[in-house]
Amino acid sequence: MTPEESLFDRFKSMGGRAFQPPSAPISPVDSPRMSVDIAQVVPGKDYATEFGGTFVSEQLFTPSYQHGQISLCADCSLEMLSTWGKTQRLSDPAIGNVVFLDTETTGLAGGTGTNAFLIGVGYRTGAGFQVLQFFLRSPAQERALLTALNDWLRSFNVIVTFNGKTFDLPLLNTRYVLNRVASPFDAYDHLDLLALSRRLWRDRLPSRALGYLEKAILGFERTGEDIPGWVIPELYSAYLRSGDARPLAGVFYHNSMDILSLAALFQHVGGLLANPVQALGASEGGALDMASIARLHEDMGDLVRAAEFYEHSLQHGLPTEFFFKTIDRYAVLCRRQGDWAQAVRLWQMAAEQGSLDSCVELAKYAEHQARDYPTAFVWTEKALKLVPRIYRYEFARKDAERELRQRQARIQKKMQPKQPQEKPQ
Amino acid sequence: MPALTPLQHVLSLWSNEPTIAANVVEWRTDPPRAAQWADLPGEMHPALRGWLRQKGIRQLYVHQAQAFEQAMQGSNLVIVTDTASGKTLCYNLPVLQTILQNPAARALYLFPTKALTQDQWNNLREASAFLADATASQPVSAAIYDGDTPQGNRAAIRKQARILLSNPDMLHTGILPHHTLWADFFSNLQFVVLDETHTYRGVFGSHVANLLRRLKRIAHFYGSNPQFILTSATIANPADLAEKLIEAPVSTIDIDGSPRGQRHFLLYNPPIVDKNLGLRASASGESLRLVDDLLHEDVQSLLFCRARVLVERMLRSLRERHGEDSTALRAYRSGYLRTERRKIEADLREGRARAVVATNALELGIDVGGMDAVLLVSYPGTIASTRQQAGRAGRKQGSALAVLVASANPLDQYIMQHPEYIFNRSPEQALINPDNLLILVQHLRCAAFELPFHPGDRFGTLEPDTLRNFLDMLCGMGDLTASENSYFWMASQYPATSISLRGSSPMQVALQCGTLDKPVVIGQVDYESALWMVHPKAVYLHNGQSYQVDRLDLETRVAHLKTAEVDYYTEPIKQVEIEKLSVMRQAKVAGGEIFFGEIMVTTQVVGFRRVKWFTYEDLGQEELDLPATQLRTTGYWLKLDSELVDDLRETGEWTNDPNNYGPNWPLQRKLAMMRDKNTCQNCGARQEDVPLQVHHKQPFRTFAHYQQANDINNLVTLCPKCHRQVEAAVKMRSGLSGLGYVLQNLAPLFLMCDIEDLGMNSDPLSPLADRQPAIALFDTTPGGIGLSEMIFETHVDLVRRAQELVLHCACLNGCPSCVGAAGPEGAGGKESTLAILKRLAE
Repeated sequence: MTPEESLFDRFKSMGGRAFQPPSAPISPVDSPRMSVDIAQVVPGKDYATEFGGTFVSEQLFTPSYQHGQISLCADCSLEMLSTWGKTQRLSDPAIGNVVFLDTETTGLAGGTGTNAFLIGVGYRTGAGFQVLQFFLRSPAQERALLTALNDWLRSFNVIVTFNGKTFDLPLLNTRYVLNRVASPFDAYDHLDLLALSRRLWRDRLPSRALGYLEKAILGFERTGEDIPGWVIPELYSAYLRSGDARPLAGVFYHNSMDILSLAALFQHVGGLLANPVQALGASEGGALDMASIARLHEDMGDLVRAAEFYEHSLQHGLPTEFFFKTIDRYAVLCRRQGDWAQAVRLWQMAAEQGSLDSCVELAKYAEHQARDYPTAFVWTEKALKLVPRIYRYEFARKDAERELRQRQARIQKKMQPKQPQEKPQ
Repeated sequence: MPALTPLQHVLSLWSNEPTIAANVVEWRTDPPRAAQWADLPGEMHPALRGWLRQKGIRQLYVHQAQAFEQAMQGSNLVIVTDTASGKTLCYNLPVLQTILQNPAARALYLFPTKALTQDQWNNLREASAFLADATASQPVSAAIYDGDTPQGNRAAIRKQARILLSNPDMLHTGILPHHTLWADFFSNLQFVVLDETHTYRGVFGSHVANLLRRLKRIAHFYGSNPQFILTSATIANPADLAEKLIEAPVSTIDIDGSPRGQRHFLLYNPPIVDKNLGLRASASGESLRLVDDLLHEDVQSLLFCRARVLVERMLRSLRERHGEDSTALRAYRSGYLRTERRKIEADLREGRARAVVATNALELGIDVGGMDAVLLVSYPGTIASTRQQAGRAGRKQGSALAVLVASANPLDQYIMQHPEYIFNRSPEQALINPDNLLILVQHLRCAAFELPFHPGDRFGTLEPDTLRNFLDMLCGMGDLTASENSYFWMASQYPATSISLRGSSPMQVALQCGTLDKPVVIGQVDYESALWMVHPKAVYLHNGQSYQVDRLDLETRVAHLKTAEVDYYTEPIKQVEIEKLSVMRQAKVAGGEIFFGEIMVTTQVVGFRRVKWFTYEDLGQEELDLPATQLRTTGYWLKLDSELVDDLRETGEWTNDPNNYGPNWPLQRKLAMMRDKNTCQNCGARQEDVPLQVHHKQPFRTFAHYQQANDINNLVTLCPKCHRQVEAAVKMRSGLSGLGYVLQNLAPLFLMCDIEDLGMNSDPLSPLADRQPAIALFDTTPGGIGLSEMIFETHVDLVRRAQELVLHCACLNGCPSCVGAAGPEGAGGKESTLAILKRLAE
């Protein structure tokens, strides 16, 4: 190393570069740093722990507050949510043991170097809906933050998140391990609403992101205070460089709206699952949601209600593609329970609308169950007529036709009177 | 008299066949070696004894027993023994013993390649099943965790694996950055095994040393302090390398107690076919001749080639000559599917494959059984590799054969002159530089991502103050943030994924061929090489096909090529400037002074020359406008004494034998004098005063035809005094460049590196040496990885070897095997180079 040059000059001259050049230039030393503490930016105060203080912002939303169309403090039915999420403690009569949690992080990459710098929690109290936001004023105070969070979480026993199973909770667990503080999360029941949302709206909505659901399902619009999620890591790192917390106000708003939407979604889904017929009524897309709920019940083993909701969805105008899919599932459910009459009725409904699969199912039924070979033959004929409409490609068409012809040949053989003497020993 | 075995038959054939026997420069026969046994250590767990007994092992080789005892005492070990000496047991026994005693204990095995990992896993699985039965307990679960491990299995492996088999790259990107998921594993980590340590050298090794610093830091966080067991091929400095890698004391075990059958080792130098150009028959052609005989007698053979393309070409030739038997004649290299490789390995073990052509992918410890014969098609680049590849030949009983067939490379030729290097103690030093600035900084980023740095923390042997300096720099760049004297990772990205341990330059230029709407990428080169390899209009060879570069787009990093059948190749004309930044060491040596220091090398490709294939006729030059590149690195340079230079001039050693300048010389000479008006073109002296002479600007012998050499444009009129000066300058230039060439090519003998890892510059007016003649050799890795410093240290030895090589080379005026081919830059000055070497080696 030449004596007069700095380590940085030397590094640069070898071709070294910053790992990830910040999008805004780092404030040069000569421009005075404008340090503004977070307490001057959002309401809140320091919470003391044995490892030092941590800043906590508090907001109370009164019982009359409406998040979109949802009232956060209305009565809520928890039974179905609890069954689906296998979160038994959710069925406690009071909702006071449920906490909603969402984090803002320094990146999405995961791993030990990704930090949660803002952890928002929300819960219901007698006075309304309370949102607390634990803020990491500097990375050195993480232990205090995690300890404070631990203290606050102690009175709850169910955590509700949106994508917390793969993102927030593993990330927080990592932070606890790194700071040698026992992680509280193993002691909780956890309900991840993302998984449930996917099940409910996979067929109907183009996206299941929370930001989309709050508009499409909850009817909520954020104000201009909000900032897009992808700028959040950069805003925090800019704050660490400058000490100016003002640009973080948008992050606090973003996080608290995420918590409110999460709670509202919970409320909405709880009601939807408790009484789908009433909740959906004749709403647009209601039949699709109903079919999803029926599938959910089927998967949970409640076949009676599954059948009820399948039936309901079929009555309320499912689009053709989903009509066939739903009939397929529903008929298989009936068949498995031995209710052939019901299954045949369903296949006939679909066959009338031109479902090739249902024609085949009916042919199978006639051949193997009813042993009514002429009817079986008729269904294969109907199926053959549908083939050109269903299969666009020559090779697929030929395959389908060959299979049906084989079936026909077999049925025809069975229709011949038996000639038992012919076979030599 | 007993009947000859097939191998003996071939050997007797060769010793009686003059066109083969004449080329065998060394025929070494190692007598069979008996095993040196040791009893199973008394403290060994009964279940472990049972497992060994079941495998038919009642005693250990001495090195295995030593390894067990020393490892159980807690020492870090490096085990240095030959291929197939049972190295695996050296680490498996102490690790299994430890886990049997303490079921919570964990071990991490790191292998340089995935193929090796697979092989070792099979070994361990079998042990684990036996031990579970014998102890009626949970099996010692061993699992592979690498890029191929399915996501669905990973969580279970993290939880259950007692012995984890992985590779450095996976540890770097997949494990350490997620260490909290491995908390249990790291808390109980007792052993880290590094197999084939000699492969961790150069840039890769410097990265791995830093990776181990990170590993130790994480282990420390969880309260463990693992013990290291390393294995290495025979190199000059195994213990030194091991200690540099793990930064802790290491005991060496290098007695090899394993038995070996008789082995013939032949060094085969293909015959010279053109003495003037120093051309020899090709190594691959001669190897095919030898394999013909082996296959004819049905001797199972393995051929090692240096390049993957060569493997395919050899296989094609073999099949042309011996039939398209797709089981008997096979190729093996990276790029083949795993299942296919496993099948070839099994076919080799079970004798179905009769001749397999392989790259060094088969060199490292994969079990294929012992071969009857192994052919090394050209020197593999290091003595360690040579021994490992040759070590593939060997049966427990009966004799085996290894043949090294030399190429024309100087190193190959030197080995042919000095077989003792292969058979005696290896002079090769495997070097790493963990503190290389660029490499270190990359790992500090990863380390900070993994755990914040707190006051007083260390990173390997880095002092806290030095470390702080680095961390402050990273803060300044916005990678880290400092808070209450600790340093935290701040960037939103994950640093490990963008850092390759294998050290390829991050900037790559794609080689694109085909049409605009259907481009095909045929390969890539790194940015620096692109400038001289695929500059506009360059002829580029790839897979035996020649291409011409249409356009080099440095912004999008694409070189657009088209196939072109041309009868010439291109040679870049580079302008290299070297600047001295600092001198760290210097020493007086015979004939001059040597230095080690930091330099800046600025290279610009300013043009290129078209050269006709085979005749080397110069077809003209063109200029290019390309950006310069800068390399800041460490270098060694040798400054020649002015006394030496004067001395050489005085004693007339610079004069070659008079050339026969061809029949048109008298006429051309006259024409040149007339054109120059009978005046010395340097000092203006006239014919009346002194008898004038005519000088070839570019030396006569560098031309293939006298007409070109005697072209009027290549001639100039000079007075005798000026002529002598000019000639001396030309000779100095060619002597220096020849010296640089031979030193650069021989250096890998000591340094275990590729020739590309070293750059060379020779300059009669060198800025490194106050405008005195000097040559420089430098690390081509920015910041250096220790190569040039080792050259500084081995200077005397290196110069002596160089003198021997040039002295004994059979060529007349210099050839690629000694001082480099004759060229217009004035290389090929064999006499001049020798004159300098003689003084330097005094």
